Amino acid sequence: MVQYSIEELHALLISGQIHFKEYYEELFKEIEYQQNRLNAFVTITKNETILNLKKKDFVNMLCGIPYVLKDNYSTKGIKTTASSRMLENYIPVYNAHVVDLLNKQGACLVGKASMDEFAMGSTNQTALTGPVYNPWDRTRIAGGSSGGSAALVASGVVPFSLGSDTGDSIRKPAGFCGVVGFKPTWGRISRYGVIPYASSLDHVGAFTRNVRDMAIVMETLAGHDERDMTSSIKEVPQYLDCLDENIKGIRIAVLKTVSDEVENSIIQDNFNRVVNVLEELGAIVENITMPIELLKAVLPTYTILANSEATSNLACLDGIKYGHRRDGKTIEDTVIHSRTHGFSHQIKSRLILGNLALAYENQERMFMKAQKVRRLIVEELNKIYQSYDIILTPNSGIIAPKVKQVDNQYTYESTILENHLILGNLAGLPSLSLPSGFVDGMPIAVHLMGRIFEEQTVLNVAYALENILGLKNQYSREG
Amino acid sequence: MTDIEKILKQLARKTMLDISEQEMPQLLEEYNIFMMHVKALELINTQDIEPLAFPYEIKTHFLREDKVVHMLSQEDVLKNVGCVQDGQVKVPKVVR
Repeated sequence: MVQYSIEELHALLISGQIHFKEYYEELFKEIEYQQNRLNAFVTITKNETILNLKKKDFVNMLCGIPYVLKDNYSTKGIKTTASSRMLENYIPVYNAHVVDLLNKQGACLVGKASMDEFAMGSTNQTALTGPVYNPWDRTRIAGGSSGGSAALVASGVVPFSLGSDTGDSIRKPAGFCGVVGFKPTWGRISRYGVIPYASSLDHVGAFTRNVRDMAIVMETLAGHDERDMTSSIKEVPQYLDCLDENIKGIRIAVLKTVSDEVENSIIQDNFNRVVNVLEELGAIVENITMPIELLKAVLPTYTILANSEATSNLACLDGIKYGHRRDGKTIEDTVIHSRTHGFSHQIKSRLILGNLALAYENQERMFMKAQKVRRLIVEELNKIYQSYDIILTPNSGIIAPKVKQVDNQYTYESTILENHLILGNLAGLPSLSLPSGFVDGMPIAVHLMGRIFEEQTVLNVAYALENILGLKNQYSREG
Repeated sequence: MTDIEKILKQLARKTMLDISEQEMPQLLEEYNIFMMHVKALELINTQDIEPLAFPYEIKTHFLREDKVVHMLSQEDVLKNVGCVQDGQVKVPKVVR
């Protein structure tokens, strides 16, 4: 069996109870089995991993621990495609900062995970390599855009994986797949070497099967990096050592404007139970509301900002320096042909509409307007954080949809409940989705958002809850 | 071709993309949805509100010591180039 948590595997490796190389032989058999079942890998790095299985001392907690990266993390010498034809054969010549950090710890990369193309999507049905399936039920989606990373932790293949989160791309799939998904504060972890989507919203984050493992991963990744000018110089706490399940007196705001939208009675009952557990643990839980017009503005604000920033960020993909190239008679023709054939329609559409919002004649009305509304939303959240440490909501009002029900088209979806996780991106808040139960055999979750740079409070509340809810280390190998 | 279709074609060109006739109906639909988002924000009073470019006000460090760091070799830089000749990126003739 290979489905250990980070701490369990670390203990087995350092005590010599399992043999490192034999473990990896078994692991790669399991990887093959799960790839056939879930289609969650873009690249399996078996050869590279085996080559790097040097003698390790296992002193560091992550030494010898297998992990997976979403395929938008640059990996030197290993294909990094962002699940797009544009980068189908792109092999980076440098590592993302966090990859260097994990290498330094001795963690073992076993593959690159599927994602929605350039992280634009929430279903993981748009990847060049095809859809990713939910480990709990293969007829359902894993969610996106970090669906491959979520599915591989939820199926037990690896104890942790990295994803990226621009709207809710870690937390939504984590909830659908029954694992812990966390994006810390914007600026807490360097994004150097992560293929960007929308820089003011993009976050590095992770999936694990319990909160203690998440604390370990966060402690490893967090900290300043001179190559990312937005990375914070704030000191990083020792998240694992400081993990504390005593949450007496912690002030928790239940955002009723969101939770009242839940229609499924089992999800509503589950959420109420979580609230009761928190009260029993000594937290001060109170109901609050936010202006509906601002919550309804979350998706429009996000859409305009994300598309506009994507237009700028993806302008470098021209087929000349790297990426998919289709020759034309002139340089301009070459760039246009390369981009036209390299991007799928959904990416082209977002880039064109982003350019619409950035056009000189529209900028004030569209892009700047969205930035102004963003300020109003963030100020409203900051008012809440003057009185509360955590904002609590259901992660979603539904279980993972069936693959056949999913529409990958651009939408004008005004449901406050299904779009509210974006608040964490607009304000850069540390946000975590925690498994809280099951509906029809599928996992559901709650969502915890803390003040900026107060990751520890979020982790502590999640840890206390997890210990009572009894859903840690769950996975579904067979579905 | 409608005025909106012409604008979208021009925008696509500015974004260094071509949009086919087959793609246009879907793009039009997406444009209409995008404009619904724009109109939704117009309902919100933002008079005297400053734009917020990042999640919170931060000081970024644009300047650093003028030292050569994190260099890529020419060989590495050219590794992913589709067409290379004599150590340079080859592109279609510019001057004819």
